[in-house]
Amino acid sequence: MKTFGMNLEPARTRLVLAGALLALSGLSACDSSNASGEMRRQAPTSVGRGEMVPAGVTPEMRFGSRSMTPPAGHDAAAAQGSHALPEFEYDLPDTWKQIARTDIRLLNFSVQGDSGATCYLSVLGGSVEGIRDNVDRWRRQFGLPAITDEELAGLPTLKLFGEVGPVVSASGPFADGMGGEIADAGLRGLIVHRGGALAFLKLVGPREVVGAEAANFDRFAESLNLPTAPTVEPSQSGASRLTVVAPPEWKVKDPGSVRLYSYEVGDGGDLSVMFLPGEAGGVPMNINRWRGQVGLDAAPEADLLAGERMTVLGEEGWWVDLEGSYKGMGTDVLVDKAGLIGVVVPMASETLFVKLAGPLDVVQAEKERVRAYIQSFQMGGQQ
Amino acid sequence: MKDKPNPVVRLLGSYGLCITLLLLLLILTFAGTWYQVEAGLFQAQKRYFESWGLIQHLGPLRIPLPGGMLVMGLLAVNLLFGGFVRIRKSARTAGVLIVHTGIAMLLLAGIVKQQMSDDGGVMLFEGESATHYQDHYHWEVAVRELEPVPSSGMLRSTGEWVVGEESFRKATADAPARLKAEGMPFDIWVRGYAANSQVMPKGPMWNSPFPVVEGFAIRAMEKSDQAEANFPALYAEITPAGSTSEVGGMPVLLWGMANAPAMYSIGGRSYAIDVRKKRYPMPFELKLIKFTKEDHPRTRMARVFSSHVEKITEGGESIPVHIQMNEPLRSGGVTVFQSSWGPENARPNTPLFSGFSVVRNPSDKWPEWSCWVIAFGMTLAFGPRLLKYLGKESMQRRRAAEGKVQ
Repeated sequence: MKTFGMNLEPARTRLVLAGALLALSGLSACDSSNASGEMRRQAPTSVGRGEMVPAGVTPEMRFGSRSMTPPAGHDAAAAQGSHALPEFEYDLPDTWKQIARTDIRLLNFSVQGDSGATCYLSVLGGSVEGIRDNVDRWRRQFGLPAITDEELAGLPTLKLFGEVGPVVSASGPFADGMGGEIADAGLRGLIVHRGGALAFLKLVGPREVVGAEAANFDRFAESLNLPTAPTVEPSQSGASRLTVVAPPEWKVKDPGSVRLYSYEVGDGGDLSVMFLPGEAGGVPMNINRWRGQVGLDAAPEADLLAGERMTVLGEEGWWVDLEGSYKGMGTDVLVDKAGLIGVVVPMASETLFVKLAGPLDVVQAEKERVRAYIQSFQMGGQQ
Repeated sequence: MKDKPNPVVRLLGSYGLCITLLLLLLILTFAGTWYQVEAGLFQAQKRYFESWGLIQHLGPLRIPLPGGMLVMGLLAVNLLFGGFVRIRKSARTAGVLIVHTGIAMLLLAGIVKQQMSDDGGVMLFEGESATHYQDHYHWEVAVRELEPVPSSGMLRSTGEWVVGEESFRKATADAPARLKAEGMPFDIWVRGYAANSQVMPKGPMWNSPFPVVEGFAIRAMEKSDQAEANFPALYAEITPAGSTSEVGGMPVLLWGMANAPAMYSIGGRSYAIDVRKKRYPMPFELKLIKFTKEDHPRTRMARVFSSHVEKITEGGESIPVHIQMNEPLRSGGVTVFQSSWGPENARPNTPLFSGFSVVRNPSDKWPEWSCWVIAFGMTLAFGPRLLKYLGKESMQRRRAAEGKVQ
């Protein structure tokens, strides 16, 4: 074996060897962790924010939705678009407790402590025909068939925001289709149509809890009011004020409960216009959702946000132009060679979606007309 | 007569071992870089370079490999025996000895960085300042003692107690971790820990491994391979100082993504309790004066971004500094790099924050110095040979020219 050079005395060798081994063992020893729970005292620290604590912190403040917000003094609401939610008025049952809102749940309550039951209010754009669709959707969550005309007509009714709607009850094994399941569940829900929107009040949880809370649910619904919320009052939402000019070749379809406008475009193209409240998950998430519908992988947020822009109703939107195999919201390919174009427009308190999906040749042929259609949008009162 | 060299020493100081170790380092670097694409920098560093060994998956094969710590440790031993102890020491080998010194400095810089450095980041809006920066991966529990800020409805910290995650990350209901401190009027009993989690209103659709507190519960999530994507949550109970674990305390949930701390009052004082990214002090206060971002035309993709900051020293002196890509602020043993900005989906006219990466590394400049030492050693070792070669060539050319003339 070839070595670097000269020989070494055995004593010196042992010394150097021992030193080297000690150094190696020292490396591993330095990695051991401290198991002590003794806390160390230090002066106040600052990483730029969050060092001041508001008096009276609530769990909702601590665990509600989060964003990196500018410091006091910046007009964040004006800059980012006001997503202020209305101050609802209601009589809260003693057994209910308000918990954090979400993008969809404008009001959210836990019922009877940790029983597992919740009651929440949500509002989506839609027509009066949507009531039936949503009654059926709720029934499907309990494995029940679509409601008949007679059954629908025979449902008890309640008032919500001054409008009368059917009260839906169900019980049995519950599965919401998104992973949530309750073996023995109960439902008490109410749907009303007002302006261009549907309001949903839904109590779901263990059957005995829902049964015991039915009277509280009814009293709560009757007490719920929106006296100081003109900005998200259903009749004031974009859904009720939007006017459009569509090409005469497009065939107007029934928009259903969620869409505001719906068209059959060319041979097999489907165009929809809809509003969802708040950020509706945000622009990147929705574009990636559309990418998934044509079999494309999700793209990085930065790439999506750097995409083409389009001004719609005075707001900046993100234009989307995709090709792939269209699956819609299912798993089977519906159109093998498909196109999907559209725009996502975050607005003050809601998000506008316009989407055309269909055979690629149809979508490409209609691209300019879709752009012109979107540019025709006007809000009521807007000149 | 001289003793025969010890075979162990011969092995440890051999060229063969040296080449083998360098080849292993090459393999580790390649595999680690590849692994980083999927698992992120933190995991790749831990697995390939801060480990003693690992199993490398290569299709259906499972190949045991020595970790970076073992390879670099052995390389240091190899260098010690072969490059310093056993080498002939003479004027002729002086250059080689200096080169070996430079390589030893590089290895030492690695050890010092591995053992003594920390890195993290800080994000500031214009007008904000920071005295500390936050680790990207490690967490700590902090208890801040609060006092009211007059006429503001806000409370500010007058001092804090902290403890690192190694003290509570293995806590369970049966084996709680007790966090306490001299002068702190209460103890924190951590009875549950989820390394990656969400805290959300407890609904009927999911179960929590920990008790529900004020309608909220911890939803334990699968730990992400990307360490920076994990946000821990703790279920804890607070008891007056000195209580035993059998005493039921006030339950609290702590979460790394919480907007605000848990509050606890005792003896007329209020305390804020957080689990937060581990903090390290900077030797100065960093204040963001102006953040500038220029986009590529007709997009919001940043072309260039930079920050005008003030470095405020302990004496109160404010020194203006411009930090931009590849032009960091180096001061007092820390280096502050311009690294990011946000929010990424900000609308026009929305205030942006500036993101800085901060590194404290006592051996920050050692690699540069090592390179100078190695360059000097190589000049000393090979310079004379080059000069000799050039002289010889020159002589041959002159002789050839003279031959032609004759």
